[in-house]
Amino acid sequence: MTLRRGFKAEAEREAARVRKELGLASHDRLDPRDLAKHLGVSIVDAGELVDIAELEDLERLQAFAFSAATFEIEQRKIIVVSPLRNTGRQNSDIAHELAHVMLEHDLSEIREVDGMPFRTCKPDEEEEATAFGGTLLLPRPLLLSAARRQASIEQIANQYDVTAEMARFRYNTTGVAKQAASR
Amino acid sequence: MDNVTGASDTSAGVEGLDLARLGEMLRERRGKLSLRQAAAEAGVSFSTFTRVEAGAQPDLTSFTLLCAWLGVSPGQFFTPVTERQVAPIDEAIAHLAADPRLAPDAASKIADVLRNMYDVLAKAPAQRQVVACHLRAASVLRPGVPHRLNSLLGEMHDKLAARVAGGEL
Repeated sequence: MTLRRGFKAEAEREAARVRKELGLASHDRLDPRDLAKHLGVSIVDAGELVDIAELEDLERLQAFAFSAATFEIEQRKIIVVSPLRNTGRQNSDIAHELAHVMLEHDLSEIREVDGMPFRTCKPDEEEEATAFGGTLLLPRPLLLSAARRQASIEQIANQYDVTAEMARFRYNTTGVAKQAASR
Repeated sequence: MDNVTGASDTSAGVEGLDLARLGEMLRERRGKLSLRQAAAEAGVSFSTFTRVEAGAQPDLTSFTLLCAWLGVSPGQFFTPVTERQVAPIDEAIAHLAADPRLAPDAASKIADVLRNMYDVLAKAPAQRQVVACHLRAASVLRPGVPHRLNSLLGEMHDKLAARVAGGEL
């Protein structure tokens, strides 16, 4: 499965637009919680809703079994995040879920968990949300400025509160290293 | 090891397995992954994965692994062949009508009482609730995880619904 033609460029434009709305410069750190507020999406810590010991039990059974979920209740969109994730991973999860909201993906497919059906997104929309979520947190101009000052993946991850995997993925797939070197 | 048999012909009285649906779901879930990658992820052999995706019937171990990889309950692929043709209440009434100790009038009176009570007391078929929730979770869930995750998500949903109703969200 590949992203539709032009999607990446569109994602960059949209990420730039929303940063402007939030009053952020292209190289500023974006807190996805601020973006959620801006979009009218609530973020709730799963620990406020269920016993944290049960979340820890689940984590012991399988690491990363649950990270986040977006609920739609009375037309309100609410993102629930696992308190067991570090800030970088929570930021990725929230950005991914917000990407679904901004791309107006419908919850359409049914996925069953223990016989209980859940409505989820289509696989191609998942891929779009992953790409757009990463673009929101680390847009190209931000990465380019990091590449020009020769910041390492770890430094990028620390400075912008994202996971090292996310920083590496965005850094490598946007080709900013090459662009920075060619100047 | 080749442990996949060809598509089985379902004889009467045996539960049928919806192999076409299973194959279709595997193809969808696999997406751009290669057959080899997907088979490795699911924990089955390359040839098993290929054949099941094409509609062949897997052995029980592979079937369970593939369902786990899809994150779905194995039960959903079984289509009961032996469907009950007659409703239980009609069956009971037919037995009464055939009882030699009951005059037709008496049988009919008991049948009326039974039918009325059944109408009042029988529950409507339970509709399975679909929770509108987009889930960010591992794509393959280990045994025991779906059950717990499901109850946690249900609890989250109910608490959030209460908060929304209470104007907190």
